[in-house]
Amino acid sequence: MFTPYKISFLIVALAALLNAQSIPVETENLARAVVFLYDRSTTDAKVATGFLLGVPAAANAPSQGATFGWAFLVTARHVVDPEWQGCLPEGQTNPTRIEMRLNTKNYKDADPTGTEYVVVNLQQDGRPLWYHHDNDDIDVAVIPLTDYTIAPLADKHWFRIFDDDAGAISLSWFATPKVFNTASIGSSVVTAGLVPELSRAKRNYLTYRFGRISNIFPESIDVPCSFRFIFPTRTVSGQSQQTMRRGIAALLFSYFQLMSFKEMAWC
Amino acid sequence: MVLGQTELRGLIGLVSLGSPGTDFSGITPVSYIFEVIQQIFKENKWPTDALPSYQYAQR
Repeated sequence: MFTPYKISFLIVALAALLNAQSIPVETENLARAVVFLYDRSTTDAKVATGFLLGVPAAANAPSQGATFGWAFLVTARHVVDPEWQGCLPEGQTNPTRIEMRLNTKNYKDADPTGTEYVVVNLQQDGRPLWYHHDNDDIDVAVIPLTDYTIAPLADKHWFRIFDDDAGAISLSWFATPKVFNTASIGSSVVTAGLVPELSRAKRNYLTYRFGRISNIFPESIDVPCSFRFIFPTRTVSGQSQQTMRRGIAALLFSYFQLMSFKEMAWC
Repeated sequence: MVLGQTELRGLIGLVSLGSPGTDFSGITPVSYIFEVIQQIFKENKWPTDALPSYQYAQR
């Protein structure tokens, strides 16, 4: 049974929307870069989302990928390190691997499925293969896609994942600090992600939300673990009333400073 | 809605909080992601000359 414990993800792109047709991102490329992530380490499998990020090889550097020099899977740290989140149910441990669901190419409606699962190893000999920020309060995890993290795929190199209908966001999509610093309460934003309720669909379907930044909080505020779950009524091993440690709270409200109201429903 | 008064462009962050069951989302600034990427390149001794030209590049 899949339990979508985290919805969202992703990207928040930015903004200045004059109308719904003016999404200032390359929607086709973005759809290929967003993936579902499955943690099946427990019977109560979890679903999360992530996106693929590509870094072009330097002019004189040997190419390590078909399109990019390097590629990374980016997601929230609490997806790969729920222990850090402070909300890991008793008796459970962090996942040692997750599965990344990619859309396949040349899909036809009559096909039984339009996706492929690729295993991403999170540990090797007990050593984490993913990276987090030096600031322990930042909820970001970056997983280099290499032959170590991508489980053996027959006789092919890890970058065969791009044989699927997958792509990667370029670092050039990142907003400059100058642009970021112009964000304020009321700024329009667009988020792009996958809807966990649709995780059984035959394909990954990227969905956008449109909203505005509603506040920028200057202080850390404790929030309950259950706050991260999709269904407010859901209780996980009695931890729904558990209070997150302050570091996480800081991540939510001090380091994640921007909060955006969803002004439109998922559609 | 008053639209078009700001001109934010580009990927500004990672949504690490938020769901249909809640009414807002939290955003992790994208600069933190870039800093982790820099850390990975440094630790693995990968050539970093590809990075500067893409650092926070404006689309």
